[in-house]
Amino acid sequence: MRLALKVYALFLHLLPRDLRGRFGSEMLALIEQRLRQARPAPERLLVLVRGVVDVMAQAVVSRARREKVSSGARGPQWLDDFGRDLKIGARGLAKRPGFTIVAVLTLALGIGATTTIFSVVDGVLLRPLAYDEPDRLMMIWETSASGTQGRPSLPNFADWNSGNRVFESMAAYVMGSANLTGGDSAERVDQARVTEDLFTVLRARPALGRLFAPDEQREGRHLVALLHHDLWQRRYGGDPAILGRDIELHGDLFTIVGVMPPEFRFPTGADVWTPLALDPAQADRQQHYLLAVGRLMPAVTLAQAQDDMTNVSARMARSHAELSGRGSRVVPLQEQIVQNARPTLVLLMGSVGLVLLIVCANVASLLFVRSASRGREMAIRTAVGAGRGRLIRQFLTESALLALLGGTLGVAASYWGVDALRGLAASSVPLLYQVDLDLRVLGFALFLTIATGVLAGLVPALAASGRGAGPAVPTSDRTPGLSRTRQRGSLIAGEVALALMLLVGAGLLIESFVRLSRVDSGFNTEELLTMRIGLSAAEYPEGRQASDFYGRLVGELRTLPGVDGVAAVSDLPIGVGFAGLYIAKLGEPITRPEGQSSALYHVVTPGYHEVMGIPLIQGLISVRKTPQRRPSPCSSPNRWPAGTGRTTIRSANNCRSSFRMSTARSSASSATSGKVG
Amino acid sequence: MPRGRPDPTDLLPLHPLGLRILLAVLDSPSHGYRIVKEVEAVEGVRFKLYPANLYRRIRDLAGQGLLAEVDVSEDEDETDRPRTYFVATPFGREVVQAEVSRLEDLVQDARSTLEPA
Repeated sequence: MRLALKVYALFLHLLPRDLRGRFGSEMLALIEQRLRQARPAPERLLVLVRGVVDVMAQAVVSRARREKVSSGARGPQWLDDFGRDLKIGARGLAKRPGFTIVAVLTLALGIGATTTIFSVVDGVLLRPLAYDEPDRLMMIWETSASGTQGRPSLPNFADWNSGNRVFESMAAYVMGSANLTGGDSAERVDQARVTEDLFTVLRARPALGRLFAPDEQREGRHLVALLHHDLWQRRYGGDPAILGRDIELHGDLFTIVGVMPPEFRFPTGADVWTPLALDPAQADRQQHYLLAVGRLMPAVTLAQAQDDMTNVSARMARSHAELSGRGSRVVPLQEQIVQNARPTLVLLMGSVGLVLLIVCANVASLLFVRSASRGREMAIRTAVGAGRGRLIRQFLTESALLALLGGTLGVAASYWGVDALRGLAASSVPLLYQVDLDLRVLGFALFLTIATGVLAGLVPALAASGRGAGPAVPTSDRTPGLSRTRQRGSLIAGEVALALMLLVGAGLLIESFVRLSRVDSGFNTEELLTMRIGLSAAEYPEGRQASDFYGRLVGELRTLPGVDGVAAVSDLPIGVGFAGLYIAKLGEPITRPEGQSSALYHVVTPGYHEVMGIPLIQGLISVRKTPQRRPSPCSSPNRWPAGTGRTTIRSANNCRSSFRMSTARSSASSATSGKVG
Repeated sequence: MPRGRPDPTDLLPLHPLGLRILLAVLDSPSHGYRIVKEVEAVEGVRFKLYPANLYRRIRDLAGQGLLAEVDVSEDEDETDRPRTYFVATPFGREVVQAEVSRLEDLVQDARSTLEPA
């Protein structure tokens, strides 16, 4: 209902300002009443369409009368003709409901699909980010000697921040998940731990309360949080007294100091922001886990920024030998966000464009057939003085009317289409929250509708109007001549060619998908369920406590009916998370990281390989339980970013301890799994 | 007739829909929805009067001085939201009477033509 009223209100802008201004709200109230009285959805749609046609007709009449009054004459002939053509066209379409419905639905499909995809392309690729001067925002990456792009460590970020001359502000952040407890329920929320300048970089202000103070970046004063507006509404009912309230995040109590507005979404998906609260002087330069963003100074170009950061990296490498060969890369933030989605969206836009061309050819064919039965009418009109141009205009008016009806229906359908896309593709297409059917997209839809009407109606109009009056007006409609048959044949051939292109493309995509789904992942996914659990370091500070918890959990889950086997693992295979370590033979020292072999590893409970159906190719799987080692002196004193099970793992990077391993190498992955003894 | 006041017959013939609208507001003020209901009741189930058509004609009739907007007291307002009420002006009533006379003459002429001699 709301959508229909929105569409109707849009068309009211066609009316003269005095009419719209005086009676616009009355007209909306009347059409709303009509819509409420119409029960089934098709009837409501019919009411809307007739209402829109009514508005258009009255817009034409109003303007014709105004010109008649101001000119003192009868009014411009073209306007009278247009009004007449509109009436004749509407009457003709009403007389052939079958043809009209088929043509309108076909047009609705093409225009609706194109409008939906364009709204996504517009929101994701064309529209600038919703920040102040978004073209000044940059992501800064660290690069290895081989040129591979990666995340910076905290000390490296701090040196970038202090050493550069091109960024007016720079910030770092890391995303993770946390258990938000307290109240009736616990939920996992996405937590962003940020340095103090993040909101300065983005020039963001809170909707309620304040941002973090500089001293709240210090350990001990960092237990403050900002909530996203959606979380505040959903979990706390939009409580206006939320400021100063405590929330429990992963076992720690944080005080809410502010609420961010609903349109602020950086990093994407963040529900809660807390201070990063890490001292760069004590952080490990080899732990690369941060993301860095900065705002360029006015008039600094991307090339200048890149040059400056390259110089900063070079100076850092001279001061720190382990940074030799490492550099930095500056990438515009918008480019960074959309680069993965761009090819897919461009492909989709091209595909729906082809669909629209097929639709135009299809409707043109229908109009061709219909015009064949109007030969006598055309001959009579020509005989009484109508020129070819006049006839063409009438045909184009009819096809434009068809396109308008189809376009209205298509735009209405695209509202649902966009909603559906937001639900289905939110995890794979960035910035979907910016996608909306606003005036810009509706303007595109209107242009598309008019172009479709002209394109679909032009060839039949030219063909039908070319049948002039012969020596006598024919007494019946003859069968189409050879040239018209050729024209229809060309249309059909074009349609088939376009459809074939789409078919081939779709076939290739399906083939790729089938091949992808047949890839041997190395484990058996049949009847396999997974769940994510996070333990707070505050409640489980010792690795043994976490280990005991998982042991008890696995034991209790095994007793559930229908459960064959249970195991826990730090990260699922082919997942996003991983932990890495350097490997050396027993007795050999671990030297510089560049000279070391490294491997990714997962930490598992006994029986994991049997539960996952991972075959053993070589060696044996040790099931000995070994005492949990104390964290070695070399492991990072900083808290590892919270995540599933990772709170029980200490990074073994640079660790000089050695451990005994048994290996079970999966056929697809090169990851090595084992128990850390 | 006062100087400058138009002759009611200058505005004839009235459009049938214009006449129906004036008849709906001849005796008492009506708002748009009630006018639509009255017109559609007379014209039959197949005829639908849509808002833009209605209000464009109301605007034109008001411009010709045939009807005017009026304020209605709270007791008389039968709706639960602010609505605009219209009523025929005295000049509008004269034009309606002139149109009805014209139509009566037309029907009489037609009848006498159709009747066998």
